[in-house]
Amino acid sequence: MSTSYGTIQVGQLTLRETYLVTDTASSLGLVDRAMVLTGQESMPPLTVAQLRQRREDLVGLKGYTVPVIFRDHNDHNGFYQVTDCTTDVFDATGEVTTVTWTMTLTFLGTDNEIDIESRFTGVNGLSTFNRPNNFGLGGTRFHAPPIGHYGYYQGVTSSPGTTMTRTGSQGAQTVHIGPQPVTSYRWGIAATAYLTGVSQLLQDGVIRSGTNVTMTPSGWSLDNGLVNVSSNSSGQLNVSVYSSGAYHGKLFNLSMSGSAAGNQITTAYDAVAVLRNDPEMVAVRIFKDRAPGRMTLDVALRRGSRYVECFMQVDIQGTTKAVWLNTAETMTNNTATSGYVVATNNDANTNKYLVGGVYSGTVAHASGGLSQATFSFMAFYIGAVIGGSAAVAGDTAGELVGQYIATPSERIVVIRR
Amino acid sequence: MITEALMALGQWSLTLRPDTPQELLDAMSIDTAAFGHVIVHPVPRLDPEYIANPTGTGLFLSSRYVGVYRKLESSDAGYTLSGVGMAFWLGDDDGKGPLIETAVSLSGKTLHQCITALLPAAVTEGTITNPSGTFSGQFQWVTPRDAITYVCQVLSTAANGPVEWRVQGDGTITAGTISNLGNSSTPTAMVTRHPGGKDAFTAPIVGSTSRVADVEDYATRVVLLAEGTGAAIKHGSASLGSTTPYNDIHGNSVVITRTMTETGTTPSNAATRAKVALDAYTAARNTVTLSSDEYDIKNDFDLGDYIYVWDPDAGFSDITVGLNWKGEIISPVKLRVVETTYPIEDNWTVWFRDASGTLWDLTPYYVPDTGSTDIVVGAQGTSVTAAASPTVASPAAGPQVLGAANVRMGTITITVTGGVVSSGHVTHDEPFPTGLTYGCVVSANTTVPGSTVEEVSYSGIDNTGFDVNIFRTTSVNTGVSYIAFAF
Repeated sequence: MSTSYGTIQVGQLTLRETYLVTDTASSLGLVDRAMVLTGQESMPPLTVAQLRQRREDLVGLKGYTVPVIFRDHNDHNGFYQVTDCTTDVFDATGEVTTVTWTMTLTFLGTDNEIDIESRFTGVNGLSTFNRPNNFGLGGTRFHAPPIGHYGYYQGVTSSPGTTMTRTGSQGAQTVHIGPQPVTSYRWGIAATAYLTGVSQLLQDGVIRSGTNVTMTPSGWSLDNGLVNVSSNSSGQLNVSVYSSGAYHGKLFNLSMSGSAAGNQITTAYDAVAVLRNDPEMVAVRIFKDRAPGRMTLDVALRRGSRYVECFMQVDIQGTTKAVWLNTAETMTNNTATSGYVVATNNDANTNKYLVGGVYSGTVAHASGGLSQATFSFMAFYIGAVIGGSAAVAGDTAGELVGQYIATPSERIVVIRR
Repeated sequence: MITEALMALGQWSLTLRPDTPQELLDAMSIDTAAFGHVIVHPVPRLDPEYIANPTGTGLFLSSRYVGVYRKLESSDAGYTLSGVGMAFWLGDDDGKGPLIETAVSLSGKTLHQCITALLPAAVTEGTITNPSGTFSGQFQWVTPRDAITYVCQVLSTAANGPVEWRVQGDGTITAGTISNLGNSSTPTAMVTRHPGGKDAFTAPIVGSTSRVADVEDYATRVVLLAEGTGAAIKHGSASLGSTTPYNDIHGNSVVITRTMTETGTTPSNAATRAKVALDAYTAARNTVTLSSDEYDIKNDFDLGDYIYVWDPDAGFSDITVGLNWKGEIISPVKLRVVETTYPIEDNWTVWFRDASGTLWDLTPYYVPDTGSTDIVVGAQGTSVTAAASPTVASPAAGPQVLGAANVRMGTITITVTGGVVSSGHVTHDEPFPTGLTYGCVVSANTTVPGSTVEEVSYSGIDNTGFDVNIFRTTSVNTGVSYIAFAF
């Protein structure tokens, strides 16, 4: 037995393993098994910011399905659903601050007795699902469970699709391209591996849990190991892609009032709110005052995706919205037929950035990007063709566009095998 | 609580505190104040302008709800007033009201002309927008509500979409297509389980959903028995244009025919009415009840509007819809709000207007409701009398001859072998409708020489024909007359 406190990993949240655990079971068996955890975080040794983060994430976990990993008492490891969480804060004039927490979890199963079921939008077969677009584009779905998943099941099929590997900061991830177009897929995963190769929400570099997170306009970022996106104090989006062992970023200017250089947003955004914070997808909403009026920009990042998905809304119709590279690059213009532009040549990291949209009226921006004035919103995506002209199958520009079109939203459910 | 439903009475109830002044209670006496109106505004205090002009339309049209006072219950806990909505003035659920006693005949009339001919004095004309098409028919011994609903249903063609009416708080009627009535077919709200702030275009209503889906009333064909009696009964029918998605145990398409009786329907309207009925029964019925504690939902949508419902686990999704929603693409289903129930909240203004036009301020004395807002989308719930779904009645008791179209008469000559039952087969020249009951009368035609017959009967009658059976002791050719009918 260790002489120092261990840790309890509840989803993305690391807590001190004080180990006060109450198990309850019903005669019905594992289905009704519950666990009550109690512990305490304190300053010191944590900082005020770290303590605040713990408390926010604790209460934000309610309702989430999470893996729970004990360093020392790993007989309790497994998948749980957080049904309740309370925190009591004690502050002794800032010298000592404690957060005593109690968490109630429903036990769903150990990782060898459960499957993770990925459920996609819709109920009755999704072979025809395509994101609405004005180009009549279809596509090929992709699905990327966490790194280390096994037993990927898509039903009995003669067309299982193909697999490819995307290597990112979290490791080499198997991505399924064009799996059987059903509504759900099942896969197995160790509890310790569930959060590897997933989408993450970070604030000041710290991975956060739940949606009740205090975000700052210049401190937030989304990361899935392949793509990282954030905004800076100049209102630019920094989209970085992982290749050759490192992230390589490019700045993108945004505008809600025209496509000229003088129209771009140059100041920090006013607020950021978390829309979704799940391993399969994270999303934030960025808010900008138009004085008067407002612009919101939803930024989402899926697990295993090579692109970040954005949706800008402005409260005035006919306003030109635009996104373009801060450092211009020569782009090949495919907006007329497929709504996207892609760098003509490989960049210094042997990648090609692409920016695309789906609605009519999307036109190329001279610096490498898009603009759109037809509607009061603009849906677009920013990504990169890793490997550039030598991109592997599944990573080419046209294929990434098709994946954007044909991949619906995903939710996960823990089910019994 | 207030319940509003499309083209239906709805209901309301309001509780006054036990310490309500006697003067007010006297004014609420059913003996003198029945059929007065309760007026509800979702604001703490009305602008004095409305108080100064209590009879002006502003008071009623700006209100959230106006209801008709019909009932008072008193107990130690207080006084509960209740009633129904303004549609009452066209006729209530029991068929009572300003009954149309003198027949009103309408021939090739527009919606506007029909409604103005059917309106009682209690309801005056508001904005009525004619959809395409005209109506012909006659109404007598029915309420204006039933008659106007009937007209609207006939005019609810595929081109027009639903044609409906509303009685507004000031006692005027508006009618037309749903867009004419101000309802939006583009959803501006979405019911979802997940919280979130209002999008630029769509307001989320967070709540729990319950869904009942059934095919208990499903039909592939409707036969409507229209006006007329005996052999002169007219009928119309409508069948599913596309193949039903359901099969029986042997893989055949299910065949479910429903009959309806509307003796007041003219032959020219029979097929249309049958189609109206069929449209209501050709899909699985979804009744969704949504319960929300969200803020005042009527700011985001109104009765009759379409809203999105997004709950894929419960089956609420439509893959033909792609909606950008909070960073992801979702596929909610679009359903129409057919009924809402909501509380009379704290800090609202409640007035009672008696028959003389005197306004009584109930605001300081009403007990605010607690509880959630319930929204019914799709098929209407059963808690409140639904808007006029087409009247479906069982066929009149006992067999009735439908009319010449469903009667076959003729004779058949059968060679009878003595001492043996001999049969001849009769085939209907055109098959009778399926799914009906069939009968037959047969008799030996005694004018045929030598045709003494001991016994004659029929067997096996169905929609294609039947066998005539004759027994006699000696052999002879004999004629048999028959009447075969379906009902």
